[in-house]
This record gives sequence, C-alpha cells and structure tokens, in this order.
Amino acid sequence: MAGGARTGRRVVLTGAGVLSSIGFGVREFAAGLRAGRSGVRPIERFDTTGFDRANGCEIPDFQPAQWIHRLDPATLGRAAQFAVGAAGMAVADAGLTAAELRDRRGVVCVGTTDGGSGDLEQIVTARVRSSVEPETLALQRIPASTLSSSIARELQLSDVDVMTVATACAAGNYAIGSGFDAVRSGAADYALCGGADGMCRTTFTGFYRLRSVAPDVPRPFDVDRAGILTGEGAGLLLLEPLERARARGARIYAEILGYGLDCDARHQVAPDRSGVARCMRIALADAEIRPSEVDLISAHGTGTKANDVTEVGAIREVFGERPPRTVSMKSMLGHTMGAATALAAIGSAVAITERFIPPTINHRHTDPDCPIDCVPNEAAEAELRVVQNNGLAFGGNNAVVLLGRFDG
Amino acid sequence: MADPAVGAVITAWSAISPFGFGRAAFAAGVRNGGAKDRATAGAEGGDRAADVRGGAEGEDRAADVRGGAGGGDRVREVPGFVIEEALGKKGTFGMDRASALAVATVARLLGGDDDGGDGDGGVRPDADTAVVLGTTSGSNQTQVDFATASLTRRKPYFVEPAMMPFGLMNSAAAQCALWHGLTGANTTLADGPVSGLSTLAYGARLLAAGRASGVICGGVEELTPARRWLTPGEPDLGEGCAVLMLEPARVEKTNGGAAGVDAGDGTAGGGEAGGGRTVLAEIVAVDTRMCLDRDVTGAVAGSLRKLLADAGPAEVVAAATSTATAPDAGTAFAYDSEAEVAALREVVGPVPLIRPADLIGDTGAAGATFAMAALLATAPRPGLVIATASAPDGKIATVLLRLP
Repeated sequence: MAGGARTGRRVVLTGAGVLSSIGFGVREFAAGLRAGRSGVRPIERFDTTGFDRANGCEIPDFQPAQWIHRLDPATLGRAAQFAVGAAGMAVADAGLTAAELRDRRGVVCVGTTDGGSGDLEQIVTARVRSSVEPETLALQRIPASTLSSSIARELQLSDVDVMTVATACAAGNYAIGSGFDAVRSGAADYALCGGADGMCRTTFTGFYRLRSVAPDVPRPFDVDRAGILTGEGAGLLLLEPLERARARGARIYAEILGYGLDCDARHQVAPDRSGVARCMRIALADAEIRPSEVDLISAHGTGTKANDVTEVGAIREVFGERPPRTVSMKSMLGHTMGAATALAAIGSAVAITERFIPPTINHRHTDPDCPIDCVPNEAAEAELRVVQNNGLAFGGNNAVVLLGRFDG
Repeated sequence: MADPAVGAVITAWSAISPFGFGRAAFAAGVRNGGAKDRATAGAEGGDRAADVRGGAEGEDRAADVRGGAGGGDRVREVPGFVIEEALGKKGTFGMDRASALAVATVARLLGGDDDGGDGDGGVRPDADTAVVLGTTSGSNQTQVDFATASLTRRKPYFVEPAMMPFGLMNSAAAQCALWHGLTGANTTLADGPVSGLSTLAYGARLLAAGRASGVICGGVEELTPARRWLTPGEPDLGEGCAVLMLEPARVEKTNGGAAGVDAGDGTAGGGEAGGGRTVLAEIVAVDTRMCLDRDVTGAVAGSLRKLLADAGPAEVVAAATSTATAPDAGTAFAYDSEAEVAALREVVGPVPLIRPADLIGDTGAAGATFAMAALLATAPRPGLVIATASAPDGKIATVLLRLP
C-alpha cells in the first residue's frame, strides 16, 4: 500500500556516519566502495573453534572512546557503541552540532538484527564455561532499545522520539522509512536514522547451520556463490526537511523519495518472489517513480542461493527484461545485518553524489538464473538520478527505499 | 506541531494474560483487582506448576537455568498456555513462547474473541493490514538455548536450525503474519516497557502516511527461565500479549460497504459506527521524549502537560501506568511506576489509577498495551484516559485517549 499522493515536506539526506569494515566516515567509505575494497578477514571477535570455516567482515580497529565522549563506552554493547559513534559522525558530517539539534523536535530510529545479543552470548558463555553469573552492567547492555536511547543520551537530546526497529536484516530501511515519514509529515524537524549491529556468534552459527556461510568470500549473483559472510558496523543518516537544509546552506547528498514495506507471510527464512516484487512496487508508487526511471538497484544481494535468484526474479518481474544495473555492496561489506540496508542507503547516496556505481566484487561467472548486470569487480562511472535500495529479511519483512539526485 | 496520531481510532483489542485467555478474562481480572498467583495458575495450568518452561517444550531446554522461579518470587505465567495445545503441532517445532503468545492473541483479535460473550464479530484484515509488535529482546529463552547448545555440543554448529529464526526479535510479528496471512507492513519495535505506546504512535504514523489500511499493534513478552535469569532482582515477573486494532478515524474510500465512523454512543462497549465498526477509543495525542537525568517524575509530568495542552485535566476520568516498579538501583535511571504515579498526581490530580503491573507482574514489552487494554475494559465512558510508560534507559511516552 503506497502513501499515494505526495503531501508534506521534501526530505533530504544531509549527513551520514559510517563505521564499516572497509572504512570509517563517508569519505573513506565512498573511496572503499569505488575501489571495490573487501572487508573480509578471519573472525576474531569470538571463538570459532570447531567451525570449518570462519571468515567475516569485522571492524578490527574500532576504539569506542574515539567516537563516544559523554557516555562510558563500557556501559554500551558493541552495536550501541557503533550506533552512537556513527550518529555523532552523521551530525558532524551534516555541519550541525548536537546543541543545534536540541532545539528541534527530532526522531532517533535505529534498526538492528541482534541488538545486544553479543553481550547475551558472553553472559551465556561465562556461565557455561566458568559458572559465572551476570553482572548488572552486562545485563544493561542487552536490551536493543539502548541502540537508539544511547544516541539521545550521548547527544543530550530530550525532545526526541527514540525507537529501535528490530526487523532483522531489513531493519535499516525500516528505520530510514520511519524517519522519513516523521520529517515529511512535520512531526519532526530532523531524523537520525539507520542501523547497527556487532559481530555475533549466534548469528554466525545460525547461518552456518543453514549452510549459508561462504567458505571464503561472498559472491553475490555468481553461479558459484555459497552464502554470506557475517559482518558488523553502523550507518546513520541525518534527514532534514529540504527547506531547512537549504536555509542553512547544507550539502545535500540525496533526496529520500519514498519507501515501501510489506510482508511475504509465506516462509520464515525463504524470501518470496511475489512479496519482494510487491514491496518494490509499493516503494515506487510511494515515490511516484516509474520503473524505467530507476538507474541503479542496490540489491539486498546476500550471496545465498535462495536470496539472489528470488530477488533478481522479483526485479525482473517489476522492471522487465532489461532491469537497471543491480549491485550488491555486501560483496564488499559482508552482511552487516541491521546495518546492511542503512550502509547500502548511504552507499547509494554517495553513488549519486560522486557519480559512480559501486561494484559487485569477487565475481567470476554470473548465474544464468540471476540475469542482471551486477557491475562485476570494477566500479563504473555513471550519472544516477534514482537509486533503489532493497532490504529483505527473515520473516518476510521487506523494505525498499528510493533515493534521488537532488537537482533543486 | 501536527500530531500524526490524531486521526486514528482503536476498534478492537484482545489479550492473553496471567488472567487467562481473552478480553473478558483480562477485563474481569482488572476489575477484581487481583491476580492469580503462581500456585493458583499452576493448579489451573496442570503440569506448568512445576516450572516455568520456555518455548519448545522438551528437548534440550536449559532446565538448569539458575535464578529460575524460586524463593519468594512471584511468577505469573499465562495459566495453561502450552504452545502445542494452543496452536497445534504443525509449524510450532522450535517456536518460542513469545511468538506463540502473539499468534494466539492475534487469532483472538481476528476471530472476535467471543469467549466472554461480548464478541464483536472479529477484525477483517486486508492485504494492507499491518502488524506492529513491541519486544524487549525477543525470546531470551530461544537465544540462551541456542547459544548454550552451540557451546556444549560436540560441534558448535550442532544446533537446531528450526530455532534460529525464532531467536530473532522480529519472530513474533513475522509469525503473526505467517499464521494469519497478513501481508502488510510488519514491524517490530524493541522499545521495552514503552513498546505499547511506541507501536501505537508508529502505527498511527503508518495510517497517516497511507501505508496501512489498519494496524494490529501491541506487545508481547514471555516468561521463561532465561528471562527470569536475565532479570535478577525483579521479584514479580509476568507475561502475555495484548493487541489493539488501530484504524483511520475517517474511512475516505468505501470498499465493500465500509463507511465513515461516528462518535460513540457511550455504551460500555464503545460506539457502534455506521459502517459496522466499533470505536472503542480515539487517539487524541501521543507524546514521546527522553529523560536525560534521574528526574523521571519531572519528565513524565512535562509529557503529560504537553498531552493535555488542548484538553482540561478535569476531563480525565482514569489513568494507567505501564512500567513495573524497578527493583534494582543499579539501572541507569530510577524508572518505575511510582514516578509515573507521582507525575499523574501532579498534573492530572486524583483520578482513578490502574497499575496492571501490580496485578499481572512485569510484562515487559506488553505492559503498556495491557495498560491501555485495562483502560478500554474498565474506565468509565465517556471521558478521557491517559496511559504512561517509562523505560530504564530513559524513554518516556504518554498517550491521551478519548473513550466514547
């Protein structure tokens, strides 16, 4: 169901914060995407003894104290640390200060798959291995609500609606959509929204058990693709009404044109082609964009057998025999769970601004069952007006966001 | 500024609670002002008296979870709620208790919840009916069991794959969609004890933006050994699920005979609308904010003043708090229902107060929806009612409802 006739304010992206395995900050992130950098390395965040394969896309050199100033990082789980760090970066990147945000009504909305699961795992491990009972501080790091509330506490924002969206691997797009609606309707004058997750043994184990962890690297759309690599990080976007951004002379990365949500209601873990296609149609209708106007699709593109063939099938159902170029940033970043669609949205925005298409790396032979141009291995120069950012999650939770070049 | 919640109405609700199955049981429990304690519930629930079990009964449950129900703590489970009995065997292998509670509660909402004799004929969802459910951390039991299995079995990946999606926080909402064929927006908000008001505000925002034809919103929390273990110092845990049906106040386009909604007629069941819809409450305003210091009372009071900016406190006929009393001084903020009560006394004055957590225990992410359900069930009509919620990490929310 689309929002129908466009009413309300135009919403633009004026700041972005990135913590990723291929770089911190928008500039480094954009350079990494353009270079086709791979975030793959052996997992060190947790004990991988007994697993036959254990690559991931970790952030090896994150120093929370470098990014978190008011709160004690020890009180925050890893995902909350990422969220807070990326939020501060997004505000600064927008040329704003936290003090300026305090005077406005705002929304803080962070998407996540695992929330504080990493801390829960450590508590369980301590009990199993050494019969140690959890401390209060560790328990306080578990609730996923801390991903968004910690941002408000770090930036001292009180006139703010804080929400944590826990719609698994599409959560970042859900959060962006929620922020978009709040700014568009006038309920808020800014939204700090996106997604965050930390490496999590449970998630790795689950995908491993489902035979969906790649032995070496993720190869989305490749005939030899064998699954995901789990990753971590955060992407936070600062959204503002256009008139405010203009009034303060802000740099505008992109306009958020609209989004769509739906649920397959078919299967717990397998995506459903018709449900995914419907979600894209909802988003396109909401943004009042025809399929032929989309220049690039940032796919969910996990690199599992099921996802890629289903997603490409849905894309061809909506876009016809000649769909726009369709890339997977997960080929570089791994699957960062709740952060994935938020990082991909930021990647989509910088692709528009810096006029290039991020490549799908590790690509050898396109699967004939995934007949799209995935821009293999090398970035391409391109003038992009509209980019579609797909998010598909376990539970059939689909979310698609459309970003457009801002031409005034 | 424009409040997106204005323009939405509650047209139905249901609950599965420590008072039992359905709306009538919950309403009677709240009216009677007391809850069955653990012993009573156990007797009614048969074999559940021995322990409080998690989702997938049987195989490899962490039966030895220390801190499990014991001592003088009260533990208030839904009496007699056994997943396979409630939902059958098909599709429930590995299912977490929270998802099962949610699926069963939404089934009652859709089916009209007619056990109490006040059935409303049910809710008729369409392809754009959304589900928005609140949680704290999903099913702790499933997560703990999964992690424990990985750590204790011969290979770390000798885990039950069917359990994996049930351990994700979006499981309950996704399962509701799967079981009931609900293809609209499907959102999980992890807002802990504030979730009920968060899902209401978010649902209203979906309606205002034209993203849903109706929204099933609410919250769910399971009572399991793992939750018990991870909530030390909370002496009174409860569980359950409560859901509200949220619809646009005005139906612009008629479809299959649906028509606009009139104001209610003042009967206890709410107003009968022209199109066959019953308006139980209109959302007048929602306020959300963050408390950045320890003055929760001050923050809730500020929220209430904003809520009542266009309405006099004298019109308020009842209020309900959501949050359980925080037992642990170690939490980041001194949150508890006492702060909500103090703020209500300060801003609204001496109105009848319902404190569901005193009746059914700390139901976590379901608490704020239970608070609204308690008001819908028992508050005098017509009049304004208020529900409040506060979270240990600082989120505050209040809602003003008009009961026809």
